[in-house]
Amino acid sequence: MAELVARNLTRRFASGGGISDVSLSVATGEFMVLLGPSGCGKSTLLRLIAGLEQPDSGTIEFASGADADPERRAIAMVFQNFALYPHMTAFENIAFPLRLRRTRRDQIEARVAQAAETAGLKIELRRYPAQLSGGERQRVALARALVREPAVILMDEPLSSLDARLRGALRLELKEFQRRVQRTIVYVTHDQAEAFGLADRIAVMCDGRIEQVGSPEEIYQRPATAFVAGFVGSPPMNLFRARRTNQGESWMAEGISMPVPASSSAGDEITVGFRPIDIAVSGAPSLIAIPVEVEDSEFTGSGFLVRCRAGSIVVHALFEEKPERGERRTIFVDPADLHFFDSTSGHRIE
Amino acid sequence: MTRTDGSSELERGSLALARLGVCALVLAGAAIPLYLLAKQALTPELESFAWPPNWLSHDLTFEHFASVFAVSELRSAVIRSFAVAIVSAAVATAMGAMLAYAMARGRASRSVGFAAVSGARLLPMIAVAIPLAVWLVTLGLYDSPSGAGLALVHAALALPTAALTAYSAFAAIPFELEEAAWLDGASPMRIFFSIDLPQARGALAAAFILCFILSWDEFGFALLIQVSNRTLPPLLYYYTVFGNVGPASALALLMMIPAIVVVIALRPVLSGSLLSGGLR
Repeated sequence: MAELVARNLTRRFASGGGISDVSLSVATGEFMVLLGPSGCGKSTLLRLIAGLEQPDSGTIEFASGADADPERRAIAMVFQNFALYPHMTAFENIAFPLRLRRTRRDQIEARVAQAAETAGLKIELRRYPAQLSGGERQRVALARALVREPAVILMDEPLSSLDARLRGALRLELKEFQRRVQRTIVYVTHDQAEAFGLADRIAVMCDGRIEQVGSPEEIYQRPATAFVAGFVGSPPMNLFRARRTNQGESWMAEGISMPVPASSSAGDEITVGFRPIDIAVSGAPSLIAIPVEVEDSEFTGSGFLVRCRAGSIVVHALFEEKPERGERRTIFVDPADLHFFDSTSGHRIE
Repeated sequence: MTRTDGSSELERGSLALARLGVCALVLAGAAIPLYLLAKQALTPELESFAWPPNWLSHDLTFEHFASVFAVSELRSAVIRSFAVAIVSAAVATAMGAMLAYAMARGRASRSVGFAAVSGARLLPMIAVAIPLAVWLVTLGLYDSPSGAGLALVHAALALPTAALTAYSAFAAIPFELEEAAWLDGASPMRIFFSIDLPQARGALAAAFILCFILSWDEFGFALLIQVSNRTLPPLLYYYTVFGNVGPASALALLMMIPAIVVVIALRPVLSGSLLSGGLR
């Protein structure tokens, strides 16, 4: 069952940016991550769902009853900087949504204590935000979002203002949190590790549009567009253009010949991609051989990320041993690991 | 210890000395007139005109204070001055806070607000003095025993000061906090009173103090508007005009007390160490 359905949402800004004709459905209890580079419109979409922005056109429906008034929607939000009220103690911060609803005092205390426990808050609640660490502020923000028992919790890059080590720890905690509270979460991030670690489904956004919605595995294994292919995965997929040969049976790029995808209706040009991790350094006859020259390499811990060049094409590959600069090598790719995209529309070709 | 350490320490030492010197100079600039005032207030009438003037008086006397307290007008003037200052400061701060909030949150209201505030400050006060007096006569507030007319004028005078003082405080509050409160279910009114106002209270206290002192000291309009029902500054003026240096000094000294009391009373609010750290 869908907790919230956005239909054909458009919101443009005079200064540029925003989203165009975006539709998205989020299931009840689902952890949905909006992933994309900065300026792709993911925060705009989140703010539209929150009701902080009004769409130019399009609708958002909630299973809990559509209501234009954000204060009556069963939605809570955790802001990038947590937006804790600095003049209130942790307790007062968490209790604020309940006070506004004129909840009875004994009930407020019970519910704040419960929300604080669920959010993993083990501190003295009489302290002010200024006296708390980054991680503790984060948990106060979570508890405040949770205390009114919302159907949907929105999170706008809630980990991005924390330092790297804390970020990793809190990511695990967030996942645990989601398991405990069983609520629908829409989460915005530009960090794919965060997206892959947390999401049930990911919506990859670019330029105000949703490029693909799917599970992390789907997104990684079958990217729907060339943008998704190039954005997701670390190191990112190698992408280059290829032209149809005269016979029309294979595609050529810089002397490399590749088999035609089964149902190709594309024009004379196509975008081909393969992941660095799918490259082999020794070959079998069934593999595509690509002669390259090594340009540079960097140590990654488990091996070397090598930048090679095949004519005008730059290919990133993972080697186990460090290659010499300027060394000539041949790398091999299984045709099954190739991804094809329409060069004009960017859509995947099977 | 290396030589560079030594020289930097020397530099630091001379810098501290220079700083001390500047502080002493500024302090002296404020303290010397204050001392002379206090001396004058405590020196017998004859000795205060001694030539060459002396830094220390031989005899101390409280007779000037006694003569000030003996003036029948004093009691009512003190009460009136105090009431006018409190009321005008409260009105100016309340209205200034609203104006400042609008200026901090809206682009159009910011430009209009700044134009109005600086326009009001650029206007020569004497140009509006007579029309204002006429207006107060029509309203029946001219020379009122309660000082209501003067309070109104002082509130208008102080409004730009209050608005500008409060503006930077409101502008420093992240808009995200208001959005968070809105999502928590707060109405715009509630957001202003529960989120913005408490965080700006240090600045509002400062604004209140400035407005209070502005009114407490104000002479020109007080002279014009409270002709017979006087406030303290015109009273002091009449003392000086008639050559009563001693009582005038005593009264001037006494006039400083309420201002100091207000500053001390509002000190806890002014030091807003608690009011940071909501956002990282």
